[in-house]
Amino acid sequence: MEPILEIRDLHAEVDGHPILRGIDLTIRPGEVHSIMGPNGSGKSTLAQVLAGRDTYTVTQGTVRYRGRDLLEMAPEERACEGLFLAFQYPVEIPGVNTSYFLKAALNAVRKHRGQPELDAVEFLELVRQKTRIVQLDERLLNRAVNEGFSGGEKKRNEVFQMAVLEPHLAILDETDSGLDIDALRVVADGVNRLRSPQRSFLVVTHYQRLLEYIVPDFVHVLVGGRIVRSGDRTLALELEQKGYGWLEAAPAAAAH
Amino acid sequence: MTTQLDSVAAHYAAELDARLARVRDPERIRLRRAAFERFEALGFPTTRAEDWRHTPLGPLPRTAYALTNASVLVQAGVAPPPLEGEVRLTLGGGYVTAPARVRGDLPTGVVLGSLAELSAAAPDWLSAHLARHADVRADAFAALNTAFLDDGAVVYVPRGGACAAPLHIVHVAPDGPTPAVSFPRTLIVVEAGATLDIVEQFVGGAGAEHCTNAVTELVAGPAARVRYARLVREAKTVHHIGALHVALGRDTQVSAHVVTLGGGLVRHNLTAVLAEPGADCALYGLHVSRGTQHVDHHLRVEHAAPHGTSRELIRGILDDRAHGVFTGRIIVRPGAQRTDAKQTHKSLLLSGTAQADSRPQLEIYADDVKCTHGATVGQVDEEGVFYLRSRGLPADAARSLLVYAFAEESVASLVPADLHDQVRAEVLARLPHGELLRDAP
Ligand SMILES: Nc1ncnc2c1ncn2[C@@H]1O[C@H](COP(=O)(O)OP(=O)(O)OP(=O)(O)O)[C@@H](O)[C@H]1O
Ligand SMILES: [Mg+2]
Repeated sequence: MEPILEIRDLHAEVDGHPILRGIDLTIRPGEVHSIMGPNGSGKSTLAQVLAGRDTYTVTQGTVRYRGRDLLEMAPEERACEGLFLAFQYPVEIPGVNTSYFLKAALNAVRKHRGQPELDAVEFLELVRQKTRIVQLDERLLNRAVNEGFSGGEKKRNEVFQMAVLEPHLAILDETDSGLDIDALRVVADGVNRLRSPQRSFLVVTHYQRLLEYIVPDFVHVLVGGRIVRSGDRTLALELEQKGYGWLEAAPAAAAH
Repeated sequence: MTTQLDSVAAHYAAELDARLARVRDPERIRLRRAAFERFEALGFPTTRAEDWRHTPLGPLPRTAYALTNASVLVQAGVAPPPLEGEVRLTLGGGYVTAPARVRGDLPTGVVLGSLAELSAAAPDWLSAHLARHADVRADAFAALNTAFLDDGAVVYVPRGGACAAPLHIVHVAPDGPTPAVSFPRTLIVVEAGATLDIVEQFVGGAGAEHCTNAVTELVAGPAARVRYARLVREAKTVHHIGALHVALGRDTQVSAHVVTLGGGLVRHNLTAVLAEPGADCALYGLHVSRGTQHVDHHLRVEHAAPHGTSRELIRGILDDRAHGVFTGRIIVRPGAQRTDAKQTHKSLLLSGTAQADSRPQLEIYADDVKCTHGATVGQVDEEGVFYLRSRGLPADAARSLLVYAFAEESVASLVPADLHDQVRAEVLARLPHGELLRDAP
């Protein structure tokens, strides 16, 4: 099957500091990949580069997304083409109403896909249905985007937006961090309900616990800007027991 | 230079003599002569004066403007759209021209009309308050405005009265090729326990570098509630120097929004005096400036009695080579214990050549008070822009949405709702891709 995402020898730097130093990763439709790795190893950098954040400079390598050159596309075009990033640190946007923002985003995406824009009534109906999936308090939608949201509310809001936008590839950057065990289950359940043979996920996490709920097909370990090990879900268990130390000196294993 | 200034002063003096020859009330003549003497003694301020350091007046002090009179034509095209249920009073060049341009029905006892007409009847509240609040002693512009007090708008709401309809005063500046000065004057008296929503707009002024020298006195009695809005939408060439003086009584609540979308050089002298205990005053300011617009908010909030609350929230959005100036002085008099005063000034710079200056000044002579101030100058938050883009919003729309949200926060409580809608639309119209956001809340 044609890969949804194909990363080849990706190097990226910020302010002249190399952070990603040769990433290779292929994700096919329907697959769930997990990325684990120590703090500062470049996980969020990879996620942000894929979403198109321009503070990072790609210095080498290629990324193909659904048959197109991803690095050529503006962030909004990536979003419209079905790439979604759930931020590790969702941004607070004072003065911008959450519901308005989401409607504008959804209609931008729908327009791009050649679908008619949703009117207020249809949008409300959709929102009702999706808030239930992640058990998001509907009152949050009338507040400014993420402003004053608790850590857990911000993370639920990310998954909620994902559910509304229905991406082809969702990148979840530590969406489990800061969630209590019940919230974790709800969020994981939200992700699982979106799983389909066409939709793929890249799940960045520090915790094997999340992977008990969202069972990955592949686990990759990112250390020092490189994928040093790839395996199946048992690799996550191994990491939980042994930590990352034993991998750091090891040569990069061939990525999937 | 000196001779030029002298000749300008002589020009005003001659104009004043001509006008006073037609005034019969000796009290009014005394008031106006005294004000003119103050103006002569003070002269126009220069940037050497601390309060005008960042706001040079350019040619204004040297210009022998033509003075407006009652025959200024009000151009139909510049009138702002009606507000739902409004009662409107229109003035041209500071004059309510006959027949009195009041449109709409007022509740009994409520007055909205011409100062010149009402002066003949001389109600007590008029003489008790006219020119008693504005700073004629130290403010040269207020003194000059008072000297040329031929006409103006007066509003009166009697004790316990309520005016459901919003009152809408429209000041149309003269247009045409000859630089002219007008002296719009407004007195608003709201008696004890009364409520009022009132809007004052300044429009017109195309064709030359006209000058608007406006003074509004707003006097609100005990437990009165007033929501006031002031909009400057004059032509880009207008020099607008405007004073708003708010006097609050015991437990009085006043909110004032000052929105600047037009004018070239704009100075707002905003003063609030909380003379009695328990008064609550909120001043909101918003300006959206571009080109070489210069907008100066000069605030003075005086807490003279205990348990007063004041809030000032001023925001500026500046593009091109626009310049924003803010001075916010909070004075807490001895004995004004339990004062709660908070002031914030935020500027958003959209270009590398726009500039913002901010000077908060606290003078506190009481010990049991809560006073805070904060000022920030920044650019559009690029992380926010990226977040919005990562959800599919085009870059320009994302940026404009953030600018719009910044503006919206300072007018969130602006009433009436349809005026708020108009301000929103005008802010959006100034932003790239504003049309993408036309249904923004
Ligand atoms: N703007 C920046 N300027 C300088 N260094 C940066 C910048 N952004 C990221 N870095 C550095 O890049 C490295 C990788 O950061 P990244 O956020 O990708 O790590 P991470 O794997 O997501 O870590 P964590 O598990 O803590 O979230 C870190 O050493 C970080 O300090
Ligand atoms: Mg990270």
